[in-house]
Amino acid sequence: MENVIYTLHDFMLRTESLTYILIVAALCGFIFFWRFLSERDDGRDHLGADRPGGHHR
Amino acid sequence: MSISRRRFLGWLSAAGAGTTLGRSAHAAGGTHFTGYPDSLGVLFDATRCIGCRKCEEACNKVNELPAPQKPFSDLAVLEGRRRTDAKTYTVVNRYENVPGAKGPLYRKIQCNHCLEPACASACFVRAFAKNSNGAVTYDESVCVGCRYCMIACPFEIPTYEYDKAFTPRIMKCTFCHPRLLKGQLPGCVEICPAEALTFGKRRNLLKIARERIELFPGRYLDHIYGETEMGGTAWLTISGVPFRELGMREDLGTTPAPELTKGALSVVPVVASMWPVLLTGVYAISQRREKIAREEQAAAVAEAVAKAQAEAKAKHTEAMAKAEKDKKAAIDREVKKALDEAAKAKAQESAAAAAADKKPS
Amino acid sequence: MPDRKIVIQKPALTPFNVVAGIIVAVGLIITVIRFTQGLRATTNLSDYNPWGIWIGFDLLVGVALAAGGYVTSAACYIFGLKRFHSAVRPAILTGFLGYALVVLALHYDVGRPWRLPYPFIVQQGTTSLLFEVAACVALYLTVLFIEFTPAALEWLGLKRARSIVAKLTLVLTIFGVVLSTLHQSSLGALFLIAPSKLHPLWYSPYLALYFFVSSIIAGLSMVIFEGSLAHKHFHDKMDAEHLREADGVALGFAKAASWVLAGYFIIKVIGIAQTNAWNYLGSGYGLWFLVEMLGFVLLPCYFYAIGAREKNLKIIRRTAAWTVLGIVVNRFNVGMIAFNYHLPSSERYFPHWMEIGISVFVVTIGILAYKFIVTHMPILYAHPDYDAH
Repeated sequence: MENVIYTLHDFMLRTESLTYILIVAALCGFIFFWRFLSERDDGRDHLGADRPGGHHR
Repeated sequence: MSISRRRFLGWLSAAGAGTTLGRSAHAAGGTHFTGYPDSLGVLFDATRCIGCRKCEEACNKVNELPAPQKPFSDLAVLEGRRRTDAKTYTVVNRYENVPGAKGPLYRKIQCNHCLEPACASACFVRAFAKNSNGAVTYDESVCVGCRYCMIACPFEIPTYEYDKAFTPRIMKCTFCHPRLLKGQLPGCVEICPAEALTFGKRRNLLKIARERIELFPGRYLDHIYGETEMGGTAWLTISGVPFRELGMREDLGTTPAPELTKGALSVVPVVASMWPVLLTGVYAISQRREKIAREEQAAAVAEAVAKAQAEAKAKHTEAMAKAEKDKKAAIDREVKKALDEAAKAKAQESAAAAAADKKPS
Repeated sequence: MPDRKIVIQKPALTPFNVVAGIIVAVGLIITVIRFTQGLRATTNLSDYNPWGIWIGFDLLVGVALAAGGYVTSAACYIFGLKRFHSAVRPAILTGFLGYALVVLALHYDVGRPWRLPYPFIVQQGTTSLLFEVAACVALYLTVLFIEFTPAALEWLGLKRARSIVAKLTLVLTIFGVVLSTLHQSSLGALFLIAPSKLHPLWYSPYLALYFFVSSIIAGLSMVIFEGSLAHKHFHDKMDAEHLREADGVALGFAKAASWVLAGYFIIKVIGIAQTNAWNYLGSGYGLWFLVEMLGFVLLPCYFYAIGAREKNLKIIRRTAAWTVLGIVVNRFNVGMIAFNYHLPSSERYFPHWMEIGISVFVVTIGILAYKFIVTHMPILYAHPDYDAH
C-alpha cells in the first residue's frame, strides 16, 4: 500500500507540510475576510485602506 | 475516476484522517508508529568483541574513505578515546578496569540507524531518509551545511568535513545501504572474526538477544540497548557490564526525536492563525476607543460652541431689548417734549388771545 | 526637497573611524580565508561542537536583540500607544539591520551558503524547527525591509511609492508580530530535540516560551539602550517630537520591561519545578544559573521598577544595558555554555579568534550602516513633507 506510513517522522512530514500550506492560505484569507467584514464601517477600521493619515494625540 | 479517488485518499491520509496509518497495535490512536516491519539491524555483543579493528578497516575499504595515518593493524590507537569523524564511519574503543569484567572491554561505535532518526527530524531540507530496509541515509546534493543534525543526534554520530571550503558534507555510517540493496552484508559485519556482530531483521535480532540473555544470565545484563532508547534503533547492543561503562548514555529516555519537537511544532499554526485574530481585535478596540475619544472631544467642542453661541445670543437679545427700551424711552421723551412744547405754545397762544381780547377794539 | 539633507563631511581620522576601518579590514581578510580555506581554518568547531558563536551570538543573540522592531511597532500601531510613535522608526531600522546581519553571518556559518534558499525551493524539511525559523526569518526580513522603506523613499523623494507602503503599515505590523512570535520562540525550540545535551537547568519544555518572552524584554531594553546611545551621538538629528517623546518612551518601556521580567522570572522558576531540576542548583552550573536568574533577571526587574517609579532615566538606561547583557548571557548559556555540558572539558568549545573577528566585523558593519542611515534618512525626525503613518 502506497499510503501506509510507518514512521512518526513520515507522518509528521505529511501533516506539517499540509499545515504550512494551510497557514499560508489562512493568512491570505484573513486579509480579505477582514476587509469584507469592515468595509462598510465608517472608514476607520479598514485594514490599510482609509486609515487616518496622521496619528492623533 | 480511480486516480482522483486515490489522490483524495492520499490527501486524507496526509491530513491524518486516513485509515491506513501504519500497522500498529494502537491503530485507533492513529499516531503510534512501530517502524518498517521488516527493517534490518545488527546486534552488537560487547562480550564477544576482541578489539581487532577489522571492522574499521573493512568500513574504510567498502566506503572508499581516505586511509588513516596509522594502519588498522596498529592497536595502540585503542589507548585513547576516539569517536567517528569525517574520515571514519566506525571506531572501536577499549575500556579497561571495568568493574565486574575480567579483561578489557570493547565497544564499536557507528550510526545506530534510529527507527525515528533525530537527524532526519531536524533536517530542514530532508537530506536524511529512513529507508524501509532500516538504513538512515544522507543526500549531500541538498545539504546546506547547517549542522543541526549534529546538534540533534543523541549518539553524536554525524560528523562534518570542516576542511572542505566548497563541498563540505555530513559524513556518517550508511549501514552500507548500497551493499544492502545488492544483497550484500555491511562491510563490518562481513569481516567480524569474533561474531560480535549479528545481522538480520530487527525483530529477529531482539529475539536472539533475549535468548542469549536468558541462556547466560550471568554473562549479560537484562537490557537490550537500542530496543527502546530514543524510540528504538536498528543497531542493538547487549553487554555484561552497565552500558555507561562502555561510554553509552543511559539517560537518553525512550521518547523518539520527532516527539520532542511535536509540541512546539503544533503551536506554530495556532500562533499563525490566532495571533492575527487577537491582534486585529486589539487594533480594532484601540481604534474604536480612539474614535470614541475623538467623537467625545468633538461633542464637547460642539457643546462649548453651542453654549457660547447661546450666551452670545442671550446677550444680544438683552442688548436688543435694552436698546428697544432706550429707544422707546427716547421716543417717549421726544413725544412728551413735543407735547409739552405744544401745550406751552397753546398756552402762550391762548394767553396772547386773552391779551388781545382785553384790548379794546 | 527642503534642505534637510545633511552635508556629507569628508571622512575624518577620528578614533571611531580608525577602529572601524581596522575591524572592517581584518573582517574582510578573515572572510577571504573562510571562503577559500573552509571552516576548519577559521573556527574551533568540531564534531562535538557543530555550533559556535556564529550561531550562539550572531543568530541567537542577534535575533533577540533585533526584537525592538516588532515590540515597538506593535505597541504603537496595534495597541494604539501613539506616544511611542517617534520610537518606531529607529526600532524598525535596528530590527532590519539586525536581521540583515543575522542572515549575513549565517553565510559564514553554514557549509554551503549558496544553498540557503534550498529549504524553500528544493526540498522542505517541515518537521524541522529550523525550517520554521528559516521561513520566518526570511519573511520577517522582507517585512522589516518594507517597513523600513518609507524612510528611504522619503529620502529619495518618491511620494507615491511611499504612500502605498504607508497604507500597508497595519498588515505588516501584524504579520511582523506573528512571524516574530514564531521564530523567536522556535529558536529556543531548536534545542528541544537535544534533551541529553542541554543542561537540565536550561532544558525545559518551556524553552520556546522562554525565548519568546525574553525577546520582548530584549526588544524593550534595546530600544531604551539604543535610544540613549542615539541621544549621545545623534542629538542634532532629532526633531522636537522625538525629543519630547524620548523620555516617555524610556519610562514606558522600562515599566513594561520590569513587568515582563517579573513574568519571565516566574515561568523560569515554574520550569524548574516542572522538570524537578532543583537538585542541580547546588552544582557549579546551578550557581551560574542562579547568577543568570538573580543577576540578569531579578536585578534588572527591580532596577527597572525603581527607575520607572522615580522617573530616573539614568537608572533606566544603565538597567537597559545590563538587561541586554543578560540576554547575551542567556543565549550563550543555551547555545554554548550549558550545551554539551556532559562532555569532558577537553572536548568543550571555545571560539577561535577569527570567529570572534567575524562577529565583531558583523556588528561593526551594523553600526556603520546605522550611522549612515540616521545621518541621511528621516529616522530620528519626521520628514516635513509627509504625514506620519
